[in-house]
Amino acid sequence: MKFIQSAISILLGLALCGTAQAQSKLVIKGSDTLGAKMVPQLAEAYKAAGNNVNFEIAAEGSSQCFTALLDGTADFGMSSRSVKAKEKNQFATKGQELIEHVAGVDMIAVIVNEANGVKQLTREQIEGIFTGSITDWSEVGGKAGKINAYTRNTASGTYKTFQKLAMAKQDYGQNTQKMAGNTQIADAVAKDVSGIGYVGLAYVKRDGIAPASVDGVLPTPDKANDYALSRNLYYYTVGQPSGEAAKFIKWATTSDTAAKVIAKVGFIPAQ
Amino acid sequence: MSPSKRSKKNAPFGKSTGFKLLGIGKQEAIKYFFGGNATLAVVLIFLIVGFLVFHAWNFLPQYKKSLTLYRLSGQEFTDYASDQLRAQKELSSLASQVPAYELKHRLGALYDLEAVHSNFKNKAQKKLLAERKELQRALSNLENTLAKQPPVQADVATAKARVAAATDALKTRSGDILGAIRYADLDNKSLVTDAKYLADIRASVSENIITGKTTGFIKDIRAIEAGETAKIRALPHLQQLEKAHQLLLAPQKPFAAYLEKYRLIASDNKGQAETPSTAAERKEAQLTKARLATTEQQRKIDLIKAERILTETPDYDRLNQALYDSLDAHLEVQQQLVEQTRIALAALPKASEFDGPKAGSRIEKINTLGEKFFGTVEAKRHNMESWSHQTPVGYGQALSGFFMGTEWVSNSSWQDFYGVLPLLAGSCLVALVAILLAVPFAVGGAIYVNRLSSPFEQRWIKPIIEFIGAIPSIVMAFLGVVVVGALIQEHTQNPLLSWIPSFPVEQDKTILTAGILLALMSIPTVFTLAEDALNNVPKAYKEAALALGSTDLQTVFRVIFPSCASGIIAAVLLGFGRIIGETMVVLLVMGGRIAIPDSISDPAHSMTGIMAQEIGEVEQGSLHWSALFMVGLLLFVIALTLNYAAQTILKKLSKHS
Repeated sequence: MKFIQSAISILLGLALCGTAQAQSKLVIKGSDTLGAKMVPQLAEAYKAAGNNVNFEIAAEGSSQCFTALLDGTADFGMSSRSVKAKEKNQFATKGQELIEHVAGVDMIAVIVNEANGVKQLTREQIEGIFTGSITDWSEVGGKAGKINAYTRNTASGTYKTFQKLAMAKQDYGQNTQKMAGNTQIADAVAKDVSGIGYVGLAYVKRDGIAPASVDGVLPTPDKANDYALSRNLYYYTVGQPSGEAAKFIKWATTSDTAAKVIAKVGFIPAQ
Repeated sequence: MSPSKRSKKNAPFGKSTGFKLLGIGKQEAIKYFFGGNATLAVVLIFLIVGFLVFHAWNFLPQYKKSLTLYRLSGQEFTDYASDQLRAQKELSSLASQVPAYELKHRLGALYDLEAVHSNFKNKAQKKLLAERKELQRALSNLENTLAKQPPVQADVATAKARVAAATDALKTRSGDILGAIRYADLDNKSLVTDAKYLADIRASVSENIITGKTTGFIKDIRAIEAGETAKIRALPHLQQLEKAHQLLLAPQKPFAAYLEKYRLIASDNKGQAETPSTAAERKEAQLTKARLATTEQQRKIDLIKAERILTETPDYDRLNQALYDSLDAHLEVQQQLVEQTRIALAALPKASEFDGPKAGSRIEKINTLGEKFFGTVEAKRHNMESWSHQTPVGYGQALSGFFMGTEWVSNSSWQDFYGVLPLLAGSCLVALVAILLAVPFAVGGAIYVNRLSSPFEQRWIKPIIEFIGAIPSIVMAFLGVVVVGALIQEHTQNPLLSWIPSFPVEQDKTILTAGILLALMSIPTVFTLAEDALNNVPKAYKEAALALGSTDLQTVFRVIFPSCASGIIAAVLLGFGRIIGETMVVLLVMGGRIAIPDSISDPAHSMTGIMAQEIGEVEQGSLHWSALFMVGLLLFVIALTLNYAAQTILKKLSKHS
């Protein structure tokens, strides 16, 4: 009896797998900035538009995009920074070429607690805060109190881009705390009156935090060209994309529906 | 008649019961099976050690190479100058903080009023979610009805009525809620409050929640505060301080300009220095790419690119010449820096002139740091003068860079440093806090359960304590993130506790929070082992003590406890080992700040935490990778030592009894 039961259940399982595989599947890996909100919502909209695709999205940081593409474990990758020369070499060694597709534009917003009086910072002040040479809010025109700076972890593209755009490539100060993702930084700053951090534009609309203007410009979608910390977001494919991946990327970067979704999430559509 | 016990039929593994494979009977097969398992376990341990060593092996040569590049490129040279500027900036940073602390002290409640206001607002808004949503809905409803062409008057009227009703509801409800919020409910207990503002704050918050605009009260307060601030800033000692501050800032600009120029050169040097080590690889890659190119044109482009890659070692003498030549320029900016700083320090007002204790303490800190500053500048200048890019970097330097290094900087655009000290300090401190908290509970519990409790209590307490050990560590970490951290942060603000060093705790993720959770996790380990030790005390000891007329407590403390002390020490050591290897709690609850902690109320990082966090993102075989394995190896050695020490102590115990 037992044997028959287990045999039947195994057969059923296999049959289910079979039907699942009839659907096409897209595996997308990489940046947390893209993968936590924007791409999942794009995927939903894409499915709602009548495409029978299964999405598998893993977002651990931009570095994952390139390691996964190199291993061949992803159909395409998401990255919030452009590819490094070293990574490009690795692909070249295998005779592959990376193709870059601009997924959208993001502004890295510097966020402070809502209760914090400091809502305007200069780029030098931001550099000082994150490199650790400015340690008290009173040094940047606020009320007396120690600054707690929250940053992303080292796998993050935002970590690197911020270092390049805001900190003249200097290292982060020893007292900065490394957080796993945008949401974690927003949460920490919302809880901590003396906290400061940086997140993608899509994470600014949260109770308890407020974006600070950088050199007098607030991060709003219409100011993308003036804001000091704007950057492109990318999809990466190995060679020209084909099949379902090509279809999705084309849809996500050119169609109006996708543009609406991207804008709704809080980023700026590429075109 | 029952069959004899030795009857062959009854013997479970009787030799003659048929089954044999390759001459091995059932009994032997079972014996070999168990023996094999034991051997496998031993082999596995050696394999694990081998694996750790194998991956950590490359660390020293790789780190030596990295440090050599750091020296050859002249980055080390410019970093000496950076250190000088950093030391001076510390002074100016402190000087700029002083006025704010003086203001805070002098203005009292007025200074913190806006912070109190926004704290009240947060608290009230959390309880007003339903009403605020209803108002939003009513407003958007009104907007929709107005947007209709042409607007239906009746609908508009109902929509307006709904808005009015929602506003009213919000007003009464917010009035009620704010009426119940008192200064004692503030999250941040260090804010200074004054009873005379309470009613105004409540009214203003209520108005602000409904209109979303800055209220008249806040505007008034801001105006008063600005007036008072201007008055205080005009005081002579603050004016004097401002002058000193400007003097400190002035020489920073030329120094920073010097630094920027030569850092750029060093950074460029590094690029060139790195080229030969990666160039061969890149050339190979480019050639492969050319071979696989689909079009002839692409192939040619790739080949040209490949040819352009230089594989020669750059001429470091030439590259670093600019740095050697810069010594004069450096001396000039340095003299400026030193002289102006000297004048500024002399012009600094005395700490006693400030009312605020935090302002005064900052002035004192400037003075102590100021004395050290001149020494630092001299030492760094000396380093720069005697620096040579040709001095070889030895293995000893790489080794001490790891074990004594105070910086863990990975993925840097400048230079990676892998110093384990901040991680080791974090791990050890949190384990120490945990064990100090756990030992009284665990050992006390063990003594009670083993010696003093009734059998009924024994039946219940023991399993329950041991059950704590079954809670997965990630669940403990959640508990820390959501409950314990916030509790500690809130309750340590109490002024009654301020005598404890490092209190009040200003953040929720600290060594203390993680330590408390780890203490909870290690209690079962220590408890069980301590109880075993107590059990091992011969019954005769107790009986003899009681027969001599000692009480229960005397027996426990004078006779039983001393005779099993070494067992309890072993239990504590094993508990320590258990804590130091724990990962999830320290990763999520300790805050992730990579610096040597000053006190237990600081966030810190740990050896286990850094491995869990970074191993997923590094390239296999790279320097960073082997550095993480070095940390793993170190952790393994620590755990092994602790275990060995515990075993030795236990052995001694068994010899004595």
